[in-house]
Amino acid sequence: MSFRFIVRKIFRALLTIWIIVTFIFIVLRISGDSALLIYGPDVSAKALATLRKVWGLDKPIWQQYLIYVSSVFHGNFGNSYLDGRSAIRVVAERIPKTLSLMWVTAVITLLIGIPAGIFSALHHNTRRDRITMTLAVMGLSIPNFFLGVLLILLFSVSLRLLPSAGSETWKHYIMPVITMSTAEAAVLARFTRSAMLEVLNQPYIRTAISRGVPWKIVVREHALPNAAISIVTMVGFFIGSLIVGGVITENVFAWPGVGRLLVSSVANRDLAVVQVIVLLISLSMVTANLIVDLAYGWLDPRVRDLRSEEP
Amino acid sequence: MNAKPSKPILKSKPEPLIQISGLTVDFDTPTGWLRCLHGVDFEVYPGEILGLVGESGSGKSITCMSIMKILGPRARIRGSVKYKKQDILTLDENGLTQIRGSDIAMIFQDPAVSLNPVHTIGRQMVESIIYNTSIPTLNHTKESSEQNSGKVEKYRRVTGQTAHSEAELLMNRVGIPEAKQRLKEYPHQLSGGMNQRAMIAMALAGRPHLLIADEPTTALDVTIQAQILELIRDLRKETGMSIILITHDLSVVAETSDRVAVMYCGRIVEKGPVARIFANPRHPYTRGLLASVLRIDRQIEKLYSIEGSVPAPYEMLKGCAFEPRCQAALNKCKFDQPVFKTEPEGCGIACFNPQSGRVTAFEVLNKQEDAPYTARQKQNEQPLLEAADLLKYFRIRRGSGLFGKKKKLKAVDSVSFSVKRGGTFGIVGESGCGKSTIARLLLNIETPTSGAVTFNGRKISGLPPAEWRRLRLHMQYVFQDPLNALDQRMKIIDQVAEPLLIHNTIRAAMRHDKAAELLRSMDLKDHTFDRYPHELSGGQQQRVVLARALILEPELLVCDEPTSALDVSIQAQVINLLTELRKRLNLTMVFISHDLSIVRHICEQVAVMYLGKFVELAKSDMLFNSAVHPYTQALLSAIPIPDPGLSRKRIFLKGDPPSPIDLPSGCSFHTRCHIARQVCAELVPELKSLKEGHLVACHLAHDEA
Repeated sequence: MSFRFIVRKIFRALLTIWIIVTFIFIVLRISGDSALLIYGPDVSAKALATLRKVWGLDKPIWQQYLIYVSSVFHGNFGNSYLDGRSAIRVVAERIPKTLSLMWVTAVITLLIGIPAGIFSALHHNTRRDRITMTLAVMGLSIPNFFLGVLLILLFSVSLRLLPSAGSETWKHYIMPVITMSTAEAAVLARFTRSAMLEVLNQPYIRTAISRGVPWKIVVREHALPNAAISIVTMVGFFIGSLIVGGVITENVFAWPGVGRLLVSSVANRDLAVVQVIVLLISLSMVTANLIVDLAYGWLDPRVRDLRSEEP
Repeated sequence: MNAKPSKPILKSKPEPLIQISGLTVDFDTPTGWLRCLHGVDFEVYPGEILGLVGESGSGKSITCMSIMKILGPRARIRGSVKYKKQDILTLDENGLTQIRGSDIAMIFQDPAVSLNPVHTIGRQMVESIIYNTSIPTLNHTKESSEQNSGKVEKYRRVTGQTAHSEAELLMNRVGIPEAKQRLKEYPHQLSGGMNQRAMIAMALAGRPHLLIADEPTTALDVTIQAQILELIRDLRKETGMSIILITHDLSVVAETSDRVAVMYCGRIVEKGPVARIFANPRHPYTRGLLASVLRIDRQIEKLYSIEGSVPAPYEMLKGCAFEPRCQAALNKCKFDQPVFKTEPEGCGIACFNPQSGRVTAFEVLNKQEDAPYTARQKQNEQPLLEAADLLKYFRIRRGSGLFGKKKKLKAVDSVSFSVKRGGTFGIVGESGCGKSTIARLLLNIETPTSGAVTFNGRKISGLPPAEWRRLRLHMQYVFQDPLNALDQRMKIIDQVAEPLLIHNTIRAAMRHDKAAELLRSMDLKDHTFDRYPHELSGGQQQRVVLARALILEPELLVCDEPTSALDVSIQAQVINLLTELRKRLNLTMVFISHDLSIVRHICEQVAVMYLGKFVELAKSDMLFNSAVHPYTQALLSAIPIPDPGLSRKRIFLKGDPPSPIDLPSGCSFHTRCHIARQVCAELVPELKSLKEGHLVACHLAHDEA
């Protein structure tokens, strides 16, 4: 892998982040007045003007933007309008909760989705394949919020087995993780299946069989490494949808994470906090994609060579 | 290997190595079982090469894949495949794994996709060795068998080290230079020929008794094909293994095989010793195949082609499957299926009306009562197309790092030629020699680095878009693979009419009529007009591509390998059509091909290209009868000739063409040349006139003249 390639990729990633942050900055400011939201409609015009002045909201948007950019470069991301603490801190204290939920979900999704897809592909067109795929279609057709509410009704309200809100014990994890990983695992299983089927139809699989390589080894050594190339693409998307799904799920289960903070901050026009979260999300998305890109080169020698030849 | 090399032609019959009888294969389709093989019987004797011939769709590959039982779960295989007194078809997966690779090995058509792209050649070699090493020693060299004596329990416990050195030996055996380095490389880093050698080496790892080679040279250049066929013959001689060689090319059979079996629509229709089949083919299908083969050593006006194409398995009717295309069909052929009659000396035929006598294209030509057309007129006109000092460099980056070195790839290097109106100009060469780049330059798809293309007296590069568009009407391009050149989701008639729409030359209402008329003139029936490309046969598809190119009534047609994706019989159809169209429309043609026989047949003037340069340019007859450049001579001699009795002196080119990025010094051919001298490595030879109309770029040719 060429160094040049990585440098270019990182540059593009930074560009993407900059565009997203700028977009969000502008949209948030033209879609509502923070000062008004905080004080309510009954406040005097003078008080509003003072508040706007304090936060710099009275300046034209481009000036606000320049100030914002320059303070970001100084490591200052602004303060929360609500409690005056640094926005970074407000967000940072929520991150561990979100991460713990995400990685449990990610591990479970990968552990279910990929093996299920492989299983289905290896039993192509048999009953096992059809049952697995029917389950997958069911899984991905139930919306996250609906499944979440359904689970709460069943396990919390009727059976009283699991807590419906909060994040203190391992029991709190069960329903959010099920909610998020159902659809993700289903998508991943379907994708893995088609990637495997395509690879299994390739001439080199037939060649390997004809060379007397046992079927198990053919699958492990020849089919899987090739299927992994396309599965990795999917995993990149998966991290994105995990973030999106996280926002919804955190709200359904009152999980005190970043997703919940995002929704409340947008509603309250707590601009600095929203901007930090958006920056964080785009940073993680872009990093995920960068890792996927690097993984291609690691998995596929053809890509490796192509990259060192690119003009 | 226990069997000694045995004489191919057998007086007293030994036991066959493998005996296939009553082999039928059905595929599970949504509409029920579809029969693709209808009871195939044949046998292979120890040490012989059996050629299995037929057009695509005749069931050759299915036959061989059912021997190995690698057709997948949707195939139902019946009959028996007796190998060493056991029936392979009754073996379980475990037993099959034992036999595959160790007793029967297989190599496939396209080596580039038949090897796993994410593993190194070495890793795949080692794997073959590990899974196919059954008994004590695996090394055939004396010293290593001494080393291994005593260690009897080597089964599947070959160490990586041993396997690796064995891999190196095998790579050397199949003629791969710098084996150690190659083992570390991936398939995409090797040339097609090298990959095919590597695949052969993997097949040899288990020292098989039978090697099945499924079109092993179809995807390769003629020069490489000659090398691979030579290797296969050598290996047979050396190891005494039997080989089933699947091919559509009868010339390849003539040069390699001892016996032939001809297949059509899932049946063997004729079999026998090679000499006999070629001297006295009896089945009309065999005769048709033989007649449609282009021969480099003959020149004829019009090629024979078997009409129509192989029916798909679901289109099969009662009676002989070949009946609709047969010239010797009797009435009963429509209703009864001829039974295969076995005859002495390994012959046999399934036909109610066998023919006799040698087939030559001449005879068949006479039967078709087609008068040879008259030669060109108006030779004194101005050239329609002129290429002057065309140069095309690509810059590519080599190596890693932030500032990896950029290198020049000289795809086309100072090429000049001109084609008169109505003339035909052929460009031949191995793949990667830059011939397709020339085609792209001629049509302004690529811009030359320097030099110019002049069409009808006007320089085409740098024209304003509107003017170029107008000029573009008169120049059209025909591509290699018709299926990929057509839009899969557009009806045939619409695709042919589309250029009229783009250039808006005639009224909308007329477009379809004109397209239909043109398609009819190309022997496409009305019911095909509303079909989609995949529903047509390869030959029909290529005719659609031609129609699309011709509907604007161009003056110039640039054909880039228009027949190399097609079967021999179909190839003949397309070439005949091209010849006829050229005559009728007074087309000027630039014909690019790796196949010298086709170029000879079609073109008046031929240029031979090597690594971006023309090395010889002459009138077609002159070039084929008295080629001067050693490369041209080697190309000519690499072409197989469908005449098993013919013996000729052949020049084998060593290795692959060098990389166009690091061209050899002096004459770029000197590294592979069989007559190269000191001067060739130092000076670049100029393309100079040897005699009227014959240009050669070779130091030695001019010295001798």
